[in-house]
Amino acid sequence: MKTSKGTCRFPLPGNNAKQPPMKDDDLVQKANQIAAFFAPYPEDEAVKGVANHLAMFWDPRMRKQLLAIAAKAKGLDPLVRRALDDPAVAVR
Amino acid sequence: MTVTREKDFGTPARTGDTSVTLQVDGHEVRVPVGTSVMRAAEEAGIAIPKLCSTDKLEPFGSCRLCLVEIEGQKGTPSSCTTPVREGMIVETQTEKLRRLRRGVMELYISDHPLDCLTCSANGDCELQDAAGEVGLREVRYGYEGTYHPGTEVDASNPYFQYDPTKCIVCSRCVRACAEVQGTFALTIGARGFESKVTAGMDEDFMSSECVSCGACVQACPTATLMEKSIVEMGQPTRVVETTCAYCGVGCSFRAELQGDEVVRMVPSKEGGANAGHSCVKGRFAWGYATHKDRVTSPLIRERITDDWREVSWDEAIDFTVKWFKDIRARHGTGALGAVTSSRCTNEEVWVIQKMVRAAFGNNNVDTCARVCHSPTGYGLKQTFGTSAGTQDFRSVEYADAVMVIGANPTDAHPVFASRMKKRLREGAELIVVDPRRIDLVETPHVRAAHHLQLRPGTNVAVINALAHVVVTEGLVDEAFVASRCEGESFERWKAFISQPMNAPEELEKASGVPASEIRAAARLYAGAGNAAIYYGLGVTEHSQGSTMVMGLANLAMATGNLGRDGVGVNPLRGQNNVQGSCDMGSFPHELPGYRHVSDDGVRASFEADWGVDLLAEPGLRIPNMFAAALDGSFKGFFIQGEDFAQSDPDIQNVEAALRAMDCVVVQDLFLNETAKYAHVFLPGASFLEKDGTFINAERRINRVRPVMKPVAGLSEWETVARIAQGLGYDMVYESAAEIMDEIARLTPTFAGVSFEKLDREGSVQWPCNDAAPHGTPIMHVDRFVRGKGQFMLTQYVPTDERTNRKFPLLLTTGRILTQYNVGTQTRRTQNEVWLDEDVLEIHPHDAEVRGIADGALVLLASRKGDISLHAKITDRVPQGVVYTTFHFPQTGTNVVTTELSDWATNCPEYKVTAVQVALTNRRSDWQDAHEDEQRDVPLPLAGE
Ligand code: SF4
Ligand code: SF4
Ligand code: SF4
Ligand code: FES
Repeated sequence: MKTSKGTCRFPLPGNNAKQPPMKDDDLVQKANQIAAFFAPYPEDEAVKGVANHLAMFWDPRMRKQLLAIAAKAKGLDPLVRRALDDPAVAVR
Repeated sequence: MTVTREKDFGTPARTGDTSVTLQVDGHEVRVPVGTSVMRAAEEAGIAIPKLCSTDKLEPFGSCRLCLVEIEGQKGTPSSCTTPVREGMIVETQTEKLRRLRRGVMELYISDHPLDCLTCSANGDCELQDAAGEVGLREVRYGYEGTYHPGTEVDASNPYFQYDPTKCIVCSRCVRACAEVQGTFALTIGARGFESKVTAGMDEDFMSSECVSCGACVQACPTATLMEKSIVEMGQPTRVVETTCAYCGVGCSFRAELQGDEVVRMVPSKEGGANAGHSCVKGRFAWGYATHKDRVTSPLIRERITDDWREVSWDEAIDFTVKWFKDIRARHGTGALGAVTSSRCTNEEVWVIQKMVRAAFGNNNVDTCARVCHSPTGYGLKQTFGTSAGTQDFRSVEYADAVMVIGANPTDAHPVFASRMKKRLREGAELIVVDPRRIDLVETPHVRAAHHLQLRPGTNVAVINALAHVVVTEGLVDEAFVASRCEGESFERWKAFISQPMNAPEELEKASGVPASEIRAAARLYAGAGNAAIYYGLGVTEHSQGSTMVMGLANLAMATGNLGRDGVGVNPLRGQNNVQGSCDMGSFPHELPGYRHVSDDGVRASFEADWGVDLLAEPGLRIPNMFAAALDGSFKGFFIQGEDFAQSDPDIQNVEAALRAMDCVVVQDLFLNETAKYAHVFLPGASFLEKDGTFINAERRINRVRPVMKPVAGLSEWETVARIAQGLGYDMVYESAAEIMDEIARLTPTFAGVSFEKLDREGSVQWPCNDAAPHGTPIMHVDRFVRGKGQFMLTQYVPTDERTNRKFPLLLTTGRILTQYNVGTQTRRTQNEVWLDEDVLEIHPHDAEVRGIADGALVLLASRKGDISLHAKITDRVPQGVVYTTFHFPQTGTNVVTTELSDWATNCPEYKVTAVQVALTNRRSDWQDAHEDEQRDVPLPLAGE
C-alpha cells in the first residue's frame, strides 16, 4: 500500500482474510442502489459517479469481492458493470 | 454560603441599532430603544426591588413593587413596564417610593407563611430579598393571612412540588409556561384573595398537560414551585457551568452542587443554544450518573459465557492489548476496528479515531451517526460543500415559514421546539411533512398551515413534487441561483424536475399526499420571504436518505433560502455530540474535518503530526463490520458507549455478528445489551465526570466541565491512549485541553478553538479560525463552502421494502420526550413514571378489522422477526401505518426492522418496515429468549 510517506508498514486490510465480508446478493443490491441514484445522469457521468462512489466509500475488501463476482452476478446493474472497469475501483 | 443566582435584569434585553440616553439616580446610561426603565437601571448597577418581573419574561406589571419617579411624569409608574425615553430622569430611591414599596410588601407578607428558617427556599428567595431591600420591619395587617386554605402540596411530579401556601400570585410560572415553554399548562384560577395557580383543568401537575420542563420552577420567586432535590438536600454551595449530555440541542446548564453531589441542574441564561430554557431530561433526569448500576471497575472474561472478573485497569488494558495484537497477527490489520460514541466528548472521540488510524493501522472507524445523520453528511457535502446545518437556533426567530420534515421537535428537541413555537405563535407559517400527526401540527396557539401526511418511504416523491411546483410555477429565485449556484447543474436539475413524472399529480400516487396540498405548500415555502427547513431522522433513515437531504438542499437553493437569518437547511441532530463525533473524523472514509482519506495532502499533515503512515483506502462502516464479522474477516472491536444490540436494525443479525468476534471491548457506564457479547468492559465517565467539549446541531462547541473525578479512576481518553501505547503507538496527553489543541492544529475549521477561548467566550460555532475568530453562526453567507452550490438530480426510487398481503402495514419508529433513545440513561431515572414500556400506535380502522382493543397485547411481525407489545389506538397515525419507540430492551423493536439502508451511507431504513399486527396472548420467542438471557447474565461484582 502506497502512502504519501512511502510504503505502509501495515498490510492491506483484509488481505489475509479468508472469507469475503458480505453476502454476494447484499453487495449486488447495495451496488444497484448506487446505480439507481446516478441513473438520471448522462450515462458516462453516471458510470463515473458509481465508480467514484465505490472508490470513495467502499472498503477494498468489498470492492474486491464485487469485482470478483461481477462476471457471474445476476441482476447487476449495467452501470455498475461499466463502473467496475474504472481503474478508481480497482484495489490498489 | 449558598450560590449566587445569575443576575436578573428584570426584563428581556432589546436589540436594535438606535439607543437612548437617560439618567437613573444621577447616573447616565445608554440602552437600546424599547428597554425598560428597570433594565436600564440594572445595567447601570442599580437594583430596583421587584417580584413579578424576571428577564426571561415580558413584563407584566402586577406586583407594584418596582415603582419609580420620573421627572415630568405624574405618579409612580412601574419601572418594568415603562420603556425608556431620551433624556429621561429617573429616581429609584425616594422616601415616597420606600413608603409605597413597604406598603406593598406588607400586603404580601401578611398573606405568606413566616417559616423562612425551615423553608426550602431559605437563602434563595426573592420575596425574602425584596422584604430586605424595602426595609420591611412591621406588618400592620397581622400575620394571620389565610395562606390559601384547603390547599395541599402537589407532589405528583417526580421532580418538583407545588406548595400553594407560599404563592404570591405573581404569575411568573404561568407566563413561563406560556411564553418560554409554549405549553400553556398553567392558569391563575379564581380571583382576589382566593386566586391560585392551577395546572390543566384544576388537576395535579402530573395529570395536566405539563411536560415537566422546569421553566415555571425556575421562574418562581418563592418556594411555591420547588425542586424536590432542594427540598430534600438544601441549597447548593457551588456551581459548575457545563452542557447537557442528552440531545443535539446542547443546552448549557449550571450544575449546582453540594461538594461533588449535584443538587440541581439549572439552565444557563448565557447558554447559546438554550438561553435559559431546558427540558425534563437535562433539567431533571441526571440521576443515572450516580445510579447503582454504574460499573466502576474494569471487567474481563475469556468467553462471553464466562462470568465477569473484576480486574485492575492495568490488567484490563493488558488483556485488551494482548487480544488485539493476537488478532492482528492472525487475521491482519483489517480485522480490528472501533466505533465512537456521539455521547462522548470530541476529545474522547478524537483519541479513538487516532488509535484506529495510528495504532490499529486501518480506517475501520465509524460512529453512531451511521445510523442517524450520515445521509446529512453526504447530502449537504455534495450540494453545499460541508456536512453541517446552515444556521444557529436563534435564526428561527426570523423565519416567516418553517417546514418541519421527519422530525418531532417537541419530543426530541424540546428546547429548540419551544423557540420555534414562539416564532410560530408570532405568526410564522408552518408546514409539517410527516406520516404521523406530531404534536406540532396542532399545539396551543399553533396550527400547521399544511400537514403533508405522506406514506412512509416516499419523502423523495414529496420533495420532488414541491420542487416541481417551484420550478414550473416560476417561483425560482433566479438572482440567487445565478450568482450562487453552478449554472450547469441548475439547468440540468431544472430540466429533470420539470418532467411530468415529478409533478405532484403524478407523485400523489406514491406519496398519498394530495397534489393541491403540495402545490399550496410549495407556494407558501417559496413565497414566504424567509423559509427555513428543519429535519430529523424521518428524512435520513431511509433507503433514499441521502437523496432526500440533497432534495432539501436543492429546494432551499432554488428559492434562495440560504445564507441569512431565518432560512437554511437545518438537521436536528439526535445525540448531544453527533455533530462533533462526525467532525472528529469517526468515518471510515474521512479524516477529521470531512477530508477524504485518499487526499495525499491532508494525510501528509496528519502523518507529520502523528509520526505514522496512514492508509489511503476507506475502511468498514458499521453494517460492513457486522457483515465482515459474520464472514470471519473482522475479529476485534472497540465499542465506545454504543448499544448495537438494542439500537441497530435487525438485532438478531447484530447479535450473531457480535458472537462471532474474538474480542469485543465495550466502554460504557452500564452493562448494556451489547456488553452481553463483550470480553472486556471498561467503565466510562458520565458527563458529570468528563472534561471536554460537545458540539450541538448548530455547530456550537460547548464546554463540558467535570463536577467530580471519574468514578472509575481513569478518564476515557486516558484509557484509550494506554491501549494505543500497548499496541506500540506512543499516544500521550496531559489533559483534554491538549487534545483540543491537536484538533485545532490539524482541522482547519477548528483552528481558532481552544479551551481557553471557550472558557472566555462561552461557546463558538465552527468554522472558527483566522477568518472567523469568534465562530460562524450562519454558513454560506456570501459563497458556499464548495464555492458554488451544486444541484443534484434526485430521482424517486421506491424502497425494496414493500407491503403485501402477508405484511400489509408499514411500521415507522420514533422517540418520546421523557425517554432518550435506547433509554440506558433515562430508564435509570424517575422519567419512568411517564412511560415504562414501548407501545404500538395503530389507527382505529386497522385495529377494528383485527379485533384489537386499546391496550391489547399484539404481535408485531415483519419479514425479519416478531415481538409483542401493547396496542394504543389513535388516529395520530394514518390508516396503514403503525408506530412505536425503541426505548426498552425487553421490547426489542429492532428485532422487527430490516437490514435495508441508505444507498450512499448505509444508514439503516428504520422508518419503513412492512409488518402485520395481530392479537396475541404471549410474548414473542425472541422476547422469551431475551428474558432468559437477562436472568443468566452474570452480574458484575463491581462496587456492590
Ligand atoms: S414544568 Fe414546564 S410545562 Fe410544566 S407547568 Fe411548568 S413550565 Fe409548564
Ligand atoms: S407559583 Fe410561584 S411563580 Fe407562580 S404565581 Fe405563585 S409565586 Fe408566582
Ligand atoms: S433539549 Fe436536549 S440538550 Fe436541552 S435539556 Fe433537553 S435533552 Fe438536554
Ligand atoms: S416587578 Fe414591576 S410590577 Fe412587579
